[in-house]
Amino acid sequence: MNLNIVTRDPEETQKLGKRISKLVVPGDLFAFYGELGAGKTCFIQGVCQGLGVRDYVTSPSFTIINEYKGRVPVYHFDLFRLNSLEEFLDLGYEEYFYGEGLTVIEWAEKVESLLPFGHLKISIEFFNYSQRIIYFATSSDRYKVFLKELIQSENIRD
Amino acid sequence: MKILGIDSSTRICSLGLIEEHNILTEYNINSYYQKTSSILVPAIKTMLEGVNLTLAEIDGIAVAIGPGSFTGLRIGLGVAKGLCYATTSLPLWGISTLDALAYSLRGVPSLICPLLLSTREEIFSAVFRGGEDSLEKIIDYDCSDMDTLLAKISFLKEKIIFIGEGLKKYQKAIQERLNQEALFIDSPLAFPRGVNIAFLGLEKLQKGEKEDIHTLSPLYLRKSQAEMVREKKTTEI
Amino acid sequence: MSDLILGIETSCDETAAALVEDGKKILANIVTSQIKIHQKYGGVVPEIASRKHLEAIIPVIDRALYTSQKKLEEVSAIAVTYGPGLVGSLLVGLSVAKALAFARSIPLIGINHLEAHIYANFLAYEELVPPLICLIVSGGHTSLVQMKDFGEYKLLGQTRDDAAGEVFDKISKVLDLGYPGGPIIEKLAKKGNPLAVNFPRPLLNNDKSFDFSFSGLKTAVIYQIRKFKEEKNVWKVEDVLASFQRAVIDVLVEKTLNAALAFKIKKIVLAGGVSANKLLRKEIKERAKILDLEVFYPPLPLCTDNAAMVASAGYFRLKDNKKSSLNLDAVSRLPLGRKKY
Ligand SMILES: Nc1ncnc2c1ncn2[C@@H]1O[C@H](COP(=O)(O)OP(=O)(O)O)[C@@H](O)[C@H]1O
Ligand SMILES: [Mg+2]
Repeated sequence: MNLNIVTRDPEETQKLGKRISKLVVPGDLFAFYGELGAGKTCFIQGVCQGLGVRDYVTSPSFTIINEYKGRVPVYHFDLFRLNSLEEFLDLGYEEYFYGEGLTVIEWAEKVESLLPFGHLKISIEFFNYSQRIIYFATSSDRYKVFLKELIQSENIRD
Repeated sequence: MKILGIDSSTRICSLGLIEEHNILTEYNINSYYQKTSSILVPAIKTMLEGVNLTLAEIDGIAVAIGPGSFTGLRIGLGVAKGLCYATTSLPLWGISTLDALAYSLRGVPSLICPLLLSTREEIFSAVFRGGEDSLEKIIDYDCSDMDTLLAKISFLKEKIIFIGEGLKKYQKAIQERLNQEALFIDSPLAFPRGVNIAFLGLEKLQKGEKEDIHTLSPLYLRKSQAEMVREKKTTEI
Repeated sequence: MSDLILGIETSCDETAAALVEDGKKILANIVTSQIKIHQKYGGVVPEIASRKHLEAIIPVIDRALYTSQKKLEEVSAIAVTYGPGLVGSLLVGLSVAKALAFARSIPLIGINHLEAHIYANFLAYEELVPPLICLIVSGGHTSLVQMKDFGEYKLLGQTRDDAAGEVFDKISKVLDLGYPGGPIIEKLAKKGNPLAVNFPRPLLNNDKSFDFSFSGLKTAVIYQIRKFKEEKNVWKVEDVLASFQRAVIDVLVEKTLNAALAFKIKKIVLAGGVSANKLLRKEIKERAKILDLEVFYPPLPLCTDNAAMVASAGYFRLKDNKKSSLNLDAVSRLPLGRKKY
């Protein structure tokens, strides 16, 4: 199942993230794709805001994982600097992927083969300087329901 | 000869202090309650104080080098290296966690297959031939899925004992696959214990072996890429 | 009697050990840079970093003692970085440090990496004392901190998204220039025109806070490069880089000077890898002079990660009779200034 949404500025992207956060339950996993500057961190900031995270949601490129406290805990991965699966395996990632929080991963393509079956793919593309096309895709039932709810919630064009 | 044994490769951080063939003291703590990274050095301190010994009165340190959690192993090795560096005369030995697990069945004349099961369906294994007073490794340490392991074992056609915490869930699959007699020990005691690490260190001491603390590193074992991809495919169907 | 501190640092790229006497005198400062390995991967790779740290840590400590002609028995305390950083890497240094402290029965002193960067300045300037405004900029951090006294900090602002050094690395990656991005871009920017492209100065005009934001600038630069390429116009990568670098420096300088004025503090110190940038040093010094403010920055080898700065911070902590417990754990996110230390 697929869904595309165009956002016109960073605030809209964050709002979308915020809206999605309402549907989040512990154990969820969102995999993000898109080049540098696409707005992955921006989207995740919206999700975290919606989950009541107080901490600054910054780019975890340096520490690879940031953890935030919110309505559910958030595990924020940024795999920008990672170059092979091997390197990822020892980060103790299982505890996050299969844990009790929301896992969000920037540059998820780098660990594609380790992603659990049930996850939501969110891919962000430049349309122009301030517009972004955000693609959602999933093959798991949990997130099909999720996307349907998202469509029904206010203001979203399919 | 007094030897301190350290294992921090599993979720149980395990320490043991032995003198010749006696256990002086043993300390196990589940990292759920105290993270290994915080507890390891205080635990060593407490344990030594408990038997009125100081580091200077010890004859060597044996430390687990894996297979197991890389981060855990690096904590153990970091501490062991530091202790030995600070106490110049103290020798250091690296001991495999699979040897330590098999050591629990020392003296049992049978094939012994210690298994360490990680969260990601990774299985660390080796096969030993147990004698009256020996354990001879006949299949080397490996990290694989169960299929790959059983394919290797089925060639042996001898009675074999599997030992490892949590292996119950594989018991049926193993039995169906093997033609030989197989016994299973799945017990909360089946983990690489610090005392076993220490006893294996003592053996190395008696053989006159000793590691270079500058270069000793963990055994970095993991599944082949091919296996990881294969596994992924089967879970997605 | 003098106090000899052994400093240990493994929070990111470098495995480092140093011996410092009385917080000021460097007897040995050993850094095994892992940059060579990481260059191949375009960044710091955590698993490899932790591996290399474990292999290098004892040799590096050994070399530090040998260089300083000291014995471990003469060391009065062990100072070690316990955060922020890559947890797996931090744990290597921390584990060894705890073992040494326990075995020698000497104090263990856990040091915040950001605080250590500030102390690089105390190593370099004998007379320097707080109060200070500190700008800490590196690949992983962008923080503006008010240092009221030794060991007493107030966080004034930090980045809300990307760190300044991180943006240098990312732009460098986009243009395939190599790692680390900072020095590479600095060199190329010298040959470019900083006025060629007018990039945004994020959080400069309309925001009273001392926070930073660099993701907008990152995106603007990437977008500009893409546009240039599409339009097939003649453009010089040096111009883009010079304009980008100028934008980053403008923001850093402006915010730092504003903080000094707002809190009526006369002295400013720069710290962290990005403080090696020569244009940043020059700009801030010149503009501070007009405002009658004084600027300090460490000599180049003390800008990047090293253990001498950790040992120096440890010395002042020891004087304050503050020690860490042996169950100290590594922490990946550890802001400076929430509480004392
Ligand atoms: N419609 C939009 N959605 C998201 N971000 C946008 C949009 N338009 C412009 N931007 C800008 O793009 C940048 C995205 O940066 P960031 O979220 O750090 O990207 P990434 O994490 O993908 O590298 C931000 O500076 C943001 O303000
Ligand atoms: Mg990002």
